[in-house]
Amino acid sequence: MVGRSVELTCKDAAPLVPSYLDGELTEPQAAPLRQHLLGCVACREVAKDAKALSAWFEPGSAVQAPEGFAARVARRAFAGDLGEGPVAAPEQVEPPARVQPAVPPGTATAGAQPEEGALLSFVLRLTAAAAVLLLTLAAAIQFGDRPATGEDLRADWDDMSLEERYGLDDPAMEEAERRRTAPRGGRPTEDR
Amino acid sequence: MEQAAQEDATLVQETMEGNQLSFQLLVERYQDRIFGLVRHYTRNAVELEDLVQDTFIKAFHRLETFQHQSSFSTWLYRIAVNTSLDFLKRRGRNPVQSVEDPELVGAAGLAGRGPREVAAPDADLERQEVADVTHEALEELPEIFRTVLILREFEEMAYQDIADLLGISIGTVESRLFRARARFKEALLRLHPEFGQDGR
Repeated sequence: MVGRSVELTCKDAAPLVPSYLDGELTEPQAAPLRQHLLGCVACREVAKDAKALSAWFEPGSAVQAPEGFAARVARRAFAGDLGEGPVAAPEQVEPPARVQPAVPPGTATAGAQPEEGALLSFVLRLTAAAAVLLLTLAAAIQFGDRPATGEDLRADWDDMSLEERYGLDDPAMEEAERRRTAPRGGRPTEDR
Repeated sequence: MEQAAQEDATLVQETMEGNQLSFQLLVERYQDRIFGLVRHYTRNAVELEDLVQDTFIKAFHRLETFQHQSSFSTWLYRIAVNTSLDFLKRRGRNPVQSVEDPELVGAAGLAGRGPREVAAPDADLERQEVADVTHEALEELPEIFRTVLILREFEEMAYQDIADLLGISIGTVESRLFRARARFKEALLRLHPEFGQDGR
């Protein structure tokens, strides 16, 4: 080992070489190392080997994102895609609660979904309101004429005529009613 | 704040306010870099696109957690690296990490194998050939070493950015890089002895 530098020994210099080659040393750190490398063949070899190794990390051919990638990703993100696993169809999921999807000008796809959702919601609300109204009407028709209490029922019954009570007005039925209300003990008359 | 960082911050804010176009612009700004990073984890074009897409979609859902303490690109790179490592884990790769602690192996593992060094790639080699050999050797490395090498050598990230991205200290970055380079050299010489040269 040929450590000639006054400032650094080989033992101190060698561990600094990778950081030096990576440009991570400050000038006050790099200056004595440079000085040491100028005079030390062994440490220069260490640096040379490190550079040779780094030469293998040349970037290959550049990778470019596919056409329309960003628009596709943005659309999926705003449609609520959570990433990983099977990708849900954008129209089947709600957008995240945190983000209120905006409708950027000129983006028909982004604008169409909220309009369809609003229309569907309106129709559903309308249907529900109509159903409630129908049920109310039906209940009113069915129960509207009924007496509310037993006393009301008795008063109504007393006010009714015979015909009204039984809904009958023929003489035979009148006779039957008269017999039913006649004093007990009497022999029933027989029509022969 | 620099102009690029300011533009990122504006696009992030607009995205959080619901502007889809702003998020699209954010993706466009970084898509090529993320594709370049993630391709070191898979060479399958479909997997690559899926991973990059997952990276951006995860970023979208976590935008609220971006604190602007690190740059947006560092934050995004972290998501990309974690997404890629999760993918490799799900795929069952990385048997080395399961049987040894990579922090403890490293340069010591090369002891006794001679002083052979790796020569720089021959000028006759095509660029893609070099990339293929490098990738082959990288695949032999435990993920923590592969990642630190990718970030430093291909992405040319500063130690501080790597430390921020991986959530480790600069000292750990230095140490990990040292071991990663030793492991890479060992793998390259083992797989391709023809690229070795006698040591001093």
